[in-house]
Amino acid sequence: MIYLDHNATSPIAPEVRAAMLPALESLFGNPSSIHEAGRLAQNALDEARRQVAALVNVHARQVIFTGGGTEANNLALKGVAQREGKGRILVSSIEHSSIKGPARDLAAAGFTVEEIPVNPKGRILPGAVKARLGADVILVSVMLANNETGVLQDVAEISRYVREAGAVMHTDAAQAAGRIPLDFRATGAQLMTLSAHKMYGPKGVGALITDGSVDLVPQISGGGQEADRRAGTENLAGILGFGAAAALANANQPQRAGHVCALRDRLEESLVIRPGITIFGREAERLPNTCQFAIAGMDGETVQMGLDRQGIAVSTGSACHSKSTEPSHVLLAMGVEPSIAHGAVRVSFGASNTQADVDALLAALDGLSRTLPTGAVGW
Amino acid sequence: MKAGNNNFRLVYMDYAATTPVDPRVVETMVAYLGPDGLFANPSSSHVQGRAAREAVETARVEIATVLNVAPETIVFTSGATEADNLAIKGAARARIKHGRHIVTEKTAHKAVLDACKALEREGFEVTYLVPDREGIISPDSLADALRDDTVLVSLLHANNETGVVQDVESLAREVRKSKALFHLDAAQSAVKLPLDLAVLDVDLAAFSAHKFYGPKGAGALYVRKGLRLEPLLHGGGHERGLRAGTLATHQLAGLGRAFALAAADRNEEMARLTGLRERLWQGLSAAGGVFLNGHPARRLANILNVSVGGVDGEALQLALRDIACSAGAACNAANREPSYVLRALGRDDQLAGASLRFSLGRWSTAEDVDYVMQRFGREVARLRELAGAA
Amino acid sequence: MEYLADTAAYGRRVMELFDSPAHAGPPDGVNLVGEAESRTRLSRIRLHLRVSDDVVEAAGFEALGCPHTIAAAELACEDLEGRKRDELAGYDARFLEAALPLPAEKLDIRILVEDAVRNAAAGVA
Repeated sequence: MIYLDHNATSPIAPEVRAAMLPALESLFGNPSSIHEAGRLAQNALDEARRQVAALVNVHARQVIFTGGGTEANNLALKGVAQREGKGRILVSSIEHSSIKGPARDLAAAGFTVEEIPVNPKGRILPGAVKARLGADVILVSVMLANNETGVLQDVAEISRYVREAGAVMHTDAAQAAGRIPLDFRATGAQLMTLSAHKMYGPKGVGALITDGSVDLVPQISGGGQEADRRAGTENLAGILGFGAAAALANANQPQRAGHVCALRDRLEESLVIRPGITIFGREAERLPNTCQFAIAGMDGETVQMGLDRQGIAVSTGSACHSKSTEPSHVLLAMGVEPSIAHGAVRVSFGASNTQADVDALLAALDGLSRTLPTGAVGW
Repeated sequence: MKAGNNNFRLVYMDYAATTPVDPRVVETMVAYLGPDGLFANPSSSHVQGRAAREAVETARVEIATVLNVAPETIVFTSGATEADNLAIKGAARARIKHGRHIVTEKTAHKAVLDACKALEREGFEVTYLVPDREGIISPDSLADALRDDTVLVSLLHANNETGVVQDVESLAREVRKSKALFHLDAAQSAVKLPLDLAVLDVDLAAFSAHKFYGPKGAGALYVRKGLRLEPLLHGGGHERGLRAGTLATHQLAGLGRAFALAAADRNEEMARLTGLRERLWQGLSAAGGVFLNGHPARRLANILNVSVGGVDGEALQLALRDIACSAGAACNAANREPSYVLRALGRDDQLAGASLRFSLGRWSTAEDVDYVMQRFGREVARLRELAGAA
Repeated sequence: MEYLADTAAYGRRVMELFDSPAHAGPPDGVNLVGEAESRTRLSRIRLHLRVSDDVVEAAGFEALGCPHTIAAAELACEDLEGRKRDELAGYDARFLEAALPLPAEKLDIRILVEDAVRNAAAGVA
């Protein structure tokens, strides 16, 4: 099996698993209980909080643990909007469904939600944000790295405009964390979403990083955990795993990036010499591990299934939309023709991938282009 | 100082706060934490994703089987707190056209009370039922509280502090006479009491894995078929659109297995725990001036909540620090206010403040019980002597 | 794992004084008694002093209250022994704040101790 779908989720690092097991096997106190079992659990929790904080260079008290990136994004958007009560919200047109979902919900609740367009390279022009800002804008959310194309946004410059306008800036860094250097303060955002399972940590745990200036309406109430911003007995094993994953990412980010970038470049160098290939967002700065491409005349889902049968796991776009046959909203927003967007295949590399995996993928693609009848041109 | 004194041992009697994870559950979970295939995103369409999805669906079936409902009525959450929030906020907001009145109880769990408080800020009106001195909510008091514009009733199946079990069948019948939905917080009672949701007429029921030897951070909400809720977490369309977010395969597999395992030996285990609890009560009450909180018979097998006269609650807790138990609810550790649950049962500040909840579980033994009652007796006597005539 | 208690919230000094107070109960020959009560804490301290030649020869306490209250009463008794009787009326127990130490939300325990000492001073025949 060759797994090339790390943007959907990553395997759990052995060190992460090792950090989680004590929480499952012995450290069982409820962290809110005051006796020593709870105290030990609390100490472990605090250490994990420091590890996650260190990854993005913030203080531990700036970390709100959540049940994942989706929950963190919901807390950011609805937590700010419900506090404000009314106003305009700007989100980029290429956001993940966990931003688009709450944005839609807020629009239904009476907020004005506007989409910020991207250019054909997949970039949001900071000027396009600036042009839409106004005194009634309460919140702007722009992702740091796109989950499909991997394209990075100039969040720092966008944040400057947003702050000047007095609105709250949120960035979804779920795909970026651990893959590129990431300093919360440098992003200029007041809120930032992280997810453990994109960086060799467990599913079901994420965080919202805050600069402390934003008063959030909790989405899950009761019990007072996470400084009253997110109730519920802490997912101890998950949080300890997240901490270990953050520590690993902090230590290994440059090497990891170098490794996956070499694989991605090897793939793209081979792809571009083949006819009918479009690589999306290649002209922009991207995550080092991500390559989304289309082969003219080949349907993305067919390619994905064909590769799957040969033991190669890739995706057509977001895992959250795997049942959808709609072309990617990200690519459409970039102005890609629907016929080409339908062909999108996303390859996302991880630490355990090798050059042989790239070669196997290329060979499998060549094989598919020969066997697939549907007008595959030139392969 | 007690350190180094070999006569002291450590006893865990706080199973109602959280339980250790069953080693068999750990084994199930670990299978999804390895590098080999089962780690994939259950929403991915490749073979690895489908394998993860299958694990999640197996867990759903395990839970549904225990509750005797269809698997698609089970919605996974990050725990009972989220499940309570989804049930209460989700049902109330979805039925706002029918009314803005909610009925709950003063002795509900913080998750329920805080969710109701959030709704009060949105313009809902909440009636808080007061239980009798034994913690029982009478169906009549519920009937009196129900109105034409009541959209939701949220009650605890078993109270987390006292273990008092409500007569949910009668309460459900009262709710059915109205147009309101019935939400049951079953976090504490789950798997300890048989719960057949094909028979018991509730619309929503919340569960939490870490109360029955499953992992923390995993729970479920039963949502009656056809019931519409306003989701708390939007995006992605997971869980029939009711709860967005990547499904945590290992957590949910652990939840499912824990449900199945705990249900399998429920009867023998509850009989055993009832015996231990009674032995403990006999021992504690021998100290004199010790009062049982909650109904003497209608309660969970594993919870014993007592108030102790003539001592300070915090001092008693520290004196008994070799015993892990709770004073008030564990979720309130930061807050030393006397338990609002015991206040609602009519206990004065002293007795509500000097209360201890002992909760037993799988690894509790008769030796543990004997040790606790002996230590309790000695420390209560010492603290009363220290207090003297003061 | 040592003990299943929140010992970290108290600190070694409070724990020692709470576990083994040397001045529990009234000493022999008590001739001064003072009480103080905190309604918010539901706690009470009763101090017993034996004063001879205007010097506190022995002190003992009875206390119903939290571990800090008990530790404070114990430490005050230790401190009072050997003091002059005329120091009692203006007794300053501020040293307890650092000596135990007292957490911010329990600083009022010092007042409770001072009141008990002053009442003892006033109550003498």
